[in-house]
Amino acid sequence: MSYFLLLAVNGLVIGLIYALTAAGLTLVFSVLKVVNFGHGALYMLGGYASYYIITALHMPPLVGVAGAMVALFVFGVIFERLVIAPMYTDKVERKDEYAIIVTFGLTILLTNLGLVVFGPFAKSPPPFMSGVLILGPLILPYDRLIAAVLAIVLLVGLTLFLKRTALGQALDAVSQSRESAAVIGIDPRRMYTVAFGLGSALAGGAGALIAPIFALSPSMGDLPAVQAFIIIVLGGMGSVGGSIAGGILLGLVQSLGVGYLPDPNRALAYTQAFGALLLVVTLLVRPTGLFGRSHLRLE
Amino acid sequence: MPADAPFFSVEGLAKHFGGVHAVQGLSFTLSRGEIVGLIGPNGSGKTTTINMVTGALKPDEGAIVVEGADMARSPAHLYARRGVARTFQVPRLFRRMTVLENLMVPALSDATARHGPAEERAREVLGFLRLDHLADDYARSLSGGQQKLLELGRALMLKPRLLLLDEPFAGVHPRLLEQIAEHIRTLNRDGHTIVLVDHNLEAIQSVVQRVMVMARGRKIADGAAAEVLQDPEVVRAYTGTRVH
Repeated sequence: MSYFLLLAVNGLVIGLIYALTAAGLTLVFSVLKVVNFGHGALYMLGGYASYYIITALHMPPLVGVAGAMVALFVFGVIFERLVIAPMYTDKVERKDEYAIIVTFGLTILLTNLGLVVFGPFAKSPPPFMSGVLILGPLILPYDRLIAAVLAIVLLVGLTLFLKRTALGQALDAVSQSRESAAVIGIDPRRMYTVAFGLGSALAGGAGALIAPIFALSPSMGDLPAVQAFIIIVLGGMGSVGGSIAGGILLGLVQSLGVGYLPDPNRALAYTQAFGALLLVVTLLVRPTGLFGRSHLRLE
Repeated sequence: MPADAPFFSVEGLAKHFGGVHAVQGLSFTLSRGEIVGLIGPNGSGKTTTINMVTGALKPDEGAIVVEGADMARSPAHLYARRGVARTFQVPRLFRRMTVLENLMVPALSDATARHGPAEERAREVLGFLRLDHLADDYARSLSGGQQKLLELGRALMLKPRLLLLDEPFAGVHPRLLEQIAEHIRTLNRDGHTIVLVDHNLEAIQSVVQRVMVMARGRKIADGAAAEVLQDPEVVRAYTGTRVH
């Protein structure tokens, strides 16, 4: 039982970080109808931003996370205005292809720039807090506990923002019908910028939270990006709540699957296979995902 | 703006899609508090006109002047902020929001708006439209006629100075049709300027004083409803037959 508990708690922690990454991707997809293939690179950039805020500016790790989110929000806003925005004009004829190319381009550019600027070797920022929490059979490093708590705070904040604020309602309105939103006075272009900025900030926040747990490297965003795509399909394409549930579920399934695989020597190699298996089974049973779009809204 | 200047005017409006001239040389003015029917056979350019004068489509030529400002190049949300509100042929509601939330979003789109007064106004509008019992239902669960009423309510939340209603009577149960007509009359009595696009000539005549008729992208008649509907050119445009 204690082994199960240990695996479940670790799965939950990682699942919350997955959820944070996927929630940002979902927000961008819902509002802009753009699949951001650069989301993993933004996650990586958030990790490094936090690292340099902590090590170069000698700030506490929590300030590193907050600073990384602000930096990534600004980066997202500028990128959306300069690179994504032309898509909404008549200058771009094949809009879907344009979005795919520029977001893929973002990944290639940032990953290679990362190699040049940050170097190929792994970097680790100082931990949020040293030590380990021991609660009976449960052993959890404080780093993971703090990352999980911060992820919960950010996810609850995001949900409340979408549900309770005028800006959140405006984002939800644009995600449902940009034409209807425009005729009631909402500027869809402004909402695209806000959504891309927020999505980038969430990716950056996830990267900053994971940085003390796993080492930073320029390609660290590749896998979380793939997982985020699995999660948004799991959650039901476009529901932030669905991606939170999907992220947690994926973390739990991966952790428990690896922990209970009979061959411990090969167990870790199968981590991603459990995610793929979960996706296949879910789509077989519920083709619209856990929370299909017909049932849920943006939040 | 001079006191006698029209509240809303359109001058030389034109739109073509490839080789098709959807609207050509369209000009008209609206006075404050007027209620006007815009009719014409299918494909005559009515909806294209509504789309242009609400910013959903950019005209190729012409001016759209709202209270002295030419807005022909402005996006849709700026029309809404100027008090030009519209409904669609097929209601485009926020289907995954409740009825009440659908009404509150327009009120909250103003950065200075507060939640309490917005909800109060939304409930007033729901009462006016007799939809208050459906406040917590999802918009997607409403009947077609109820969705049209809700979309009218959403437009009213903008406190519009000009309301453009695109086929409000189409596909509506006769009982609800009279209710919608009564709402439109009440809104006009309250001072709203209204343009009504529909094919139901009987319903239009029961509501409007003035009718504009379009055919093949051009305005072919404009005047008092009773006279215009007897105009031989209008009858020919509608029925394809010559009237002697």
